[in-house]
Amino acid sequence: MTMPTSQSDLMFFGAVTASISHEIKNRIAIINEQAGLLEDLVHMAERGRPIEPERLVRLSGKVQEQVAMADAIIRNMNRFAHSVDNFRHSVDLHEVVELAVALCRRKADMQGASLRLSEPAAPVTISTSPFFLIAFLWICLENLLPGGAGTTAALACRSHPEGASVSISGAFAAERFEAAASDGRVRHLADLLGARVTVDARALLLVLDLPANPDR
Amino acid sequence: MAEKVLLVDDEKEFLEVMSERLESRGMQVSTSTSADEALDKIRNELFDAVILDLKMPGMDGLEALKQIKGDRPELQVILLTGHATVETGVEAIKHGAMDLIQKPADLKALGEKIKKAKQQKMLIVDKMNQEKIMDMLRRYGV
Repeated sequence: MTMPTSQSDLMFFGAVTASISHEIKNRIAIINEQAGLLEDLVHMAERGRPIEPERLVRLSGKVQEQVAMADAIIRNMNRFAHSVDNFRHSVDLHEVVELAVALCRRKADMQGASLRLSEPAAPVTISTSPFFLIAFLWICLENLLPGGAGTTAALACRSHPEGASVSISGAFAAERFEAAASDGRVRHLADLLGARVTVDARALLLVLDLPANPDR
Repeated sequence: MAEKVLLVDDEKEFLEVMSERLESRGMQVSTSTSADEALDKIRNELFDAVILDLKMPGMDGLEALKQIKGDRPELQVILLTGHATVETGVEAIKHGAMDLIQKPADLKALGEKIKKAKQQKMLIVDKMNQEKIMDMLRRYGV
């Protein structure tokens, strides 16, 4: 099946890629300084100031930490890149939402907010488009997070007889939930997912209901 | 006299390593993990240069730059960014940044810019003092 894309979908892809590149750049900048510090310590040793072996061990440990962080970012980038391999297929919904949360974490950090994903009681499997689902969550959070410093967006997914759902809740301003509900991109993505969006601005809750059979 | 520098970045690890490296080069270094914290320090202490990350949670580097130049016009600000574009550069200079450097930074080049920042600041402070003296002379008719 051909994957339908619009300009806003491509803009989303660009925004995620830019965010990932920023995160990797930050890791590289730290590793660069740590390498420079090693060089400085060697120069100091050449001028008679001894190097403590524990210092070198600690420093190499910190380099390895940054490498591990960069590796995790690149793994997520790879999973995101492959989310467009097929338009729609059977996925573990929690894993897709987990990837979306990882990709959106920097966005939340920039707003001083945090993201929390709860583990479902049992695996939730659904046939859907991982790319458009991640895009949906990204744009919903884009609407919810501004002005939400100190707030946590709680995400959860669950099965139900008609399919599965993903919910986002949090103590964000009610107008933010209303903005998400009226965002044309949110409606466009819900259409592509064959899904229904329900927003309860008073309960501060947004729910995406994914059908078991989206082609029906 | 040693250059007095304020490093501002939300990455603590980056601040820790960079401040150690600058201090080993004879500079006096303070650090802040947010623009708000940095502005507080700037209002209470004197610095020769501020090295300021562009993208930070809360107030970003450009907004912080505008406030710094409002409070301390003589203070020289060098912006650090992961991705320098022409637009970012123009915006930075328009709001009074002395320079815009891309991460990862070349520490030797940064050190030279900090020394230049101190010289610029001293020139501005000298000029401001001269203007104050001339103003007093005019007022009291000496």
